Formats: sequence, C-alpha cells, structure tokens
Amino acid sequence: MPFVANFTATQPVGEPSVITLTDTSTGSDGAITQRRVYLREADGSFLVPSRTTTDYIEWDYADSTIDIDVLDKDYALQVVVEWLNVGNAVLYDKTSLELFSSYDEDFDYNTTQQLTGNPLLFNDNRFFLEKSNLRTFLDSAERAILRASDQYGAQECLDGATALRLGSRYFFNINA
Amino acid sequence: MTVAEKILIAELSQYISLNAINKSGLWGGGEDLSLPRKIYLVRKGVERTYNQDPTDTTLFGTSNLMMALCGAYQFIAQARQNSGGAVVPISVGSGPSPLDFIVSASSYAVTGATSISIPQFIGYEIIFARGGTVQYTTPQPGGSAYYSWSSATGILRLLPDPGGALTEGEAIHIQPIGVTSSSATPSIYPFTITSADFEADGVSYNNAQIINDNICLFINNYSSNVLYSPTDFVFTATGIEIIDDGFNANTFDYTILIQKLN
Repeated sequence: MPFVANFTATQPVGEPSVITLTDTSTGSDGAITQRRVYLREADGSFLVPSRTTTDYIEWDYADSTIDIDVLDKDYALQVVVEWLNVGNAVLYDKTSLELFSSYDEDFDYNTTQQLTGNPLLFNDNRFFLEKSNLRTFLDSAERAILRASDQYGAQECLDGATALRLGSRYFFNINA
Repeated sequence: MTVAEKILIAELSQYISLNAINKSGLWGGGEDLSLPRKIYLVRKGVERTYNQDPTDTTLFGTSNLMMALCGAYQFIAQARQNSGGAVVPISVGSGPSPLDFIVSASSYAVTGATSISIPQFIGYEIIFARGGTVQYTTPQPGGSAYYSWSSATGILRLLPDPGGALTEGEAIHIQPIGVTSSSATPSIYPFTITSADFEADGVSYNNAQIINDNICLFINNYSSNVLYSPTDFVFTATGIEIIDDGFNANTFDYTILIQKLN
C-alpha cells in the first residue's frame, strides 16, 4: 500500500507552550528513516526550541507523536513535516496552517471564572468590552485560517488577544 | 441538567434572546441589549473547556453562570428543543381538527375574552397563533401577549390579563399536537399560572398533577432567580406552597412559569 503522508497538530490541555504532532500517515515506505518538522511564523522565520541550531526539529521515526515545547505566546504557524531517507532526501512532505491559541483561550476562560465569582463584573463596561474584544480576536484568528488561509491576518488577531492578556490588570482589573 | 445540555440550552437562548430584544423595539423592552453577546462569550469558554475535559471541576460554576445569564429564555429554549422549534406541525392520524376563527361577538371565543375553553383538546398540547404569529407560553419583554394552556382542563388563558384579551377581527388558530393513548400521558410542562390561581392564603397553589414532580418555578416581576424545592417552595397534599420570604400572590399579580427539570 503506498505511503500517504499526514499528521495532526494539537495542544495538550493545560500546556499552552506545547505543540503535539501525531503522525497519521497510511501505508508504508521502507526507505523512510527520519522526520523533520518546520514551524514557520507569519513573518517567514522559523520557530525552534531554545538551543536548537537548525531551522527544523528532529522527529524520531520510532515515535508516532512528538511534543514540542516551543510556544511563548499564541501563534498561527505553517507546520511542515518531512519524511526523509537515510541520505536526508525528502521523500514526502505535508504542510498545514495551524492555529495555536491555548494561551489566550485559557485566559478567556479565566475571565469567565472571574465572572462566576463576581457576576457584577459583567456590568463593568470595561470588563465586558474587553472580554468581547478578546473573543472577537480569537474567533477572527480562527476564521482567518479556516476561510482564507490567511496566516498573517490570523497572527495579527492573536497578537491583539495577547496584548489584552498581558495587560489584563489594566483591561480587566485581574492578573493573567 | 448536564453541562452538555446546558451548553445546548445556551446556544438556543442566544438567538431566542436576540430575536426577542430585536422585536421589542427601542431599548429592547428593558432587556439588557448585550445579553445575547454575554451568553455567547460565556458559552464559548464553557464549551471549549467541556470539550477538552468534561470532568473539569470549574465547569460546575461556569455552566451555572451561563444558565443564570440565559434567565427565563432557558425555558423557551427547552420548549423549543422539545417541540422542534416555532413551526406549526402537520397533524396526522386521528385527533380533533384545528380551531380557526376570526374574533367577533359571535365567534368561538368572543371579543374581550381572556380565556378560551376547548374541551375537545383535553389531553393534547397545542400550538396557538394569533394574527399569524405563534405565541409563547412565557412572559415576553415589553409586555407582549403570551398564554397558558392546561391539557388537563382544556383551558387556554390569554395573558397578561387583561392585556392579552381577544380583539375584534383578530385571526386565531389553535392546533392540537401530540396524541393521547392509554399508555402515554402528554406532559403538562411547561405551563404558567397567575396570582389568580393561588388559594386565599396567597402562597398555596393546588394542582394534583404536579405533586412531588421534579419542578422549578420562575416568578415574573418577583425575582430573577429560579425557585427550587424545598428551599423556596414545598409540596403539600394538594399541590405546592411557596415559602420564599416576601412572596404573596394577594399583593401583586404575578405570572409563574412551572417547568419540569430533567
């Protein structure tokens, strides 16, 4: 059965800095010996863990999943996975635009928990407005990827959400 | 109610409240104009957290907040969920024919009537439309008309009383839905009562059909909280007695929605 390259990208619950890649390829090719992962940002640069000297991350072919602890904020990333042979020739590759928004989604839920403890916060014009803006940024980032494959637009929206999260003491009167 | 059910109710409440505010004109009939947005904001977070981990302990509090935001719209949402929406269904099989008439001094129910007796619909639920618009069974923002129906007595009450009374020339359509059988008993819930249904003590409501049912009450113009047994009301040998401090049906014309809990 011919090899068909595929993978999924997720974020584990409670670990917003981590990307989990799972190899969901079908078929087989005995020539494959290794994988490489490229995480390309909207500005074209590559995101790699600290102390990684290459633009890519090695993914041991014996492991069906890999956890990459690399995110310091929310990102819209072009994820490229390559399947290579022993001579480092790329035999197969798969590219996918992915949204990693756990930092700001977790923060959004945190504001909901704040409301649970003090429902009157919703009457605070600033709280309601900024929570609404936060949700709009997150929904828009998702739409930018799903509807337009617009990585740059999605990243701008995520950066807007990140600004609200990092400035939460001013925008929401709470600390992130 | 499970968290998943609450999320669905919130999804429905979102657009139900939006439409209700939209139809209520300027200032949304006094409703919070941003309520649909608030429901959406809270629901998105609750839904994401539930999908990640349905056993997350924070979901108890946040889902309750979500339901509190939905307020009375959650009951409309539940009714819509059970009835398939505000669409008049086609009546098939045996059963009484729909009741259609134009209100006049000699119509089935006359001009100015605040209740209609339809004994042939006993045992059925109904869809009630006036002027081509399907009516709700719960109080509406802005004081718009609504109704209560008892499938046990066949009495359709036009609310608020007297604001909901029939007007001359109004087109009325009453459609029976559901089929009675010896083994299946149509649900009476949700239904509404008013202060006029209470006993002389102002706190007792007699109805043998609701005794010891798992129900809750929502009293319009009294409290924004839902009332539960046994903290807010207790069951008696003949119905219920509201023990919530301050409630007395003799002092105000309340409308009470009685809904069965899952």
